Amino acid sequence: MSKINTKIKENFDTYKQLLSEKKVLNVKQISFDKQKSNKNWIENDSQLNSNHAIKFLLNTQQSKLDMKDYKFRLVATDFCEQALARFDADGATHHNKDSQIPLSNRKIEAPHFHRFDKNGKEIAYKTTFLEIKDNCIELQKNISIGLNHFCNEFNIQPNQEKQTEIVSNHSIFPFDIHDGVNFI
Amino acid sequence: MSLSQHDLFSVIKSDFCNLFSYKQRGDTMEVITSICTVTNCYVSVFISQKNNEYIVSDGAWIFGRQYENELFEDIDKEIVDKVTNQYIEHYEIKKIVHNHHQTYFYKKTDNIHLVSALVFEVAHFVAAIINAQSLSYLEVKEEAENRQFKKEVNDFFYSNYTNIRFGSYIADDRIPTTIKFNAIISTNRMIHLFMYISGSNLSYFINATCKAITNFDIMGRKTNNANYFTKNVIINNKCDGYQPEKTIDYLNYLTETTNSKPILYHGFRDDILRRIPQT
Repeated sequence: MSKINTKIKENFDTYKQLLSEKKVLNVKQISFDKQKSNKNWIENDSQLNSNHAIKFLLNTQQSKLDMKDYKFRLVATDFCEQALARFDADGATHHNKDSQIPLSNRKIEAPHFHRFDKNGKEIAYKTTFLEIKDNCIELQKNISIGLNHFCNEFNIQPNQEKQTEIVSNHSIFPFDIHDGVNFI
Repeated sequence: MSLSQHDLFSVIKSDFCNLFSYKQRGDTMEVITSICTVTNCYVSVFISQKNNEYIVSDGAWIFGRQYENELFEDIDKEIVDKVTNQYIEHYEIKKIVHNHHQTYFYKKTDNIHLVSALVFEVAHFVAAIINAQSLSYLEVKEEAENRQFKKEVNDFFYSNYTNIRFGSYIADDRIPTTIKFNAIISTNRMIHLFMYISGSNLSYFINATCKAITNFDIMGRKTNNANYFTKNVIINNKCDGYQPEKTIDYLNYLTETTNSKPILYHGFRDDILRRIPQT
């Protein structure tokens, strides 16, 4: 069940600082070297450098079935167990449950970001970039565009001049979720 | 501003209906419904047509954990399995496993006029299952204490060892297994397995002890007690369930199964460092 993150609620200024302060992605390549317990997903953890005592990780996940279904998560387990923020390129539509938001404004389709508000409640949102449908299609086709957008949103900078490359060569595009399934 | 009943109803109906939308996914259509889960996700169902039949499925999203649905405790799984079977029966849902890892729940019809009814039923089924999976069936105190103890021990490990994984399977081809351990430290030659035992009452504590015994017993049998791994237990000796005089038989059997004394975390956690050299 969706729960309030009390650590973030009680340390909201620190949380905001963790999101906004400069972090450096010090790897040339992200390759999916870890199998998640969910067998259809693979992932990678890359360390982020910062001046903060708290250690940051960039966790990248991709579906083996549908390459446009990928996620980036900004993780700092020294601060709290849950990811500080994340980006979903595809997947379920989020409901921003808030008594002050009219029903018609609560629905946030993917691609979207997740972060926490000052009450420790997880909310989904779209950036201006993601409001444009063509941008979403391009970003889903190309995970590097997604990485770039995620890095811009949370002040993650590349160390090398060259943008970090993501090694991703699974599945076909477009993916049809019912294709090949024998619904007897 | 005040509206007539009719106008107010129109607003409500419009707001509800506008929540529905669709996405094209190849030849399959994703319908995003207005039904919401307790994980704050709108339920999607997937519709395709094949051989004059309409198939309405969950898109393998329930087992794909697309709704942020996670099961944390074995005790929850037992309950959820029972609940799921009753919902399957109630909504007359079919289930198929595709390519070993994709589990689809679905209904189908050859009557186009029934497709909406199938969308209605499958969507409610999905919400019911996700909600059942996402609620906690442990007492609040038990859950909070478990989480706190796990975090404390994990933090201790994290600050002393680098090659450590939490809540994972053993990633070793010699030991194919579906058993998860609370912590696993891997060195060049050794795999050190850890189970944590805690409980807010005696019954929960004994259950956790039995789980540790079973996991290590299975591991021992699978590997013929090979010498490249060690079996270790860390006990929360400050929890209410820790009552040595009432659990002596269980703890003795645990010691026998693991070939090592359980480590009492509070006061003796440095025993871990003595037992497993830091890398």
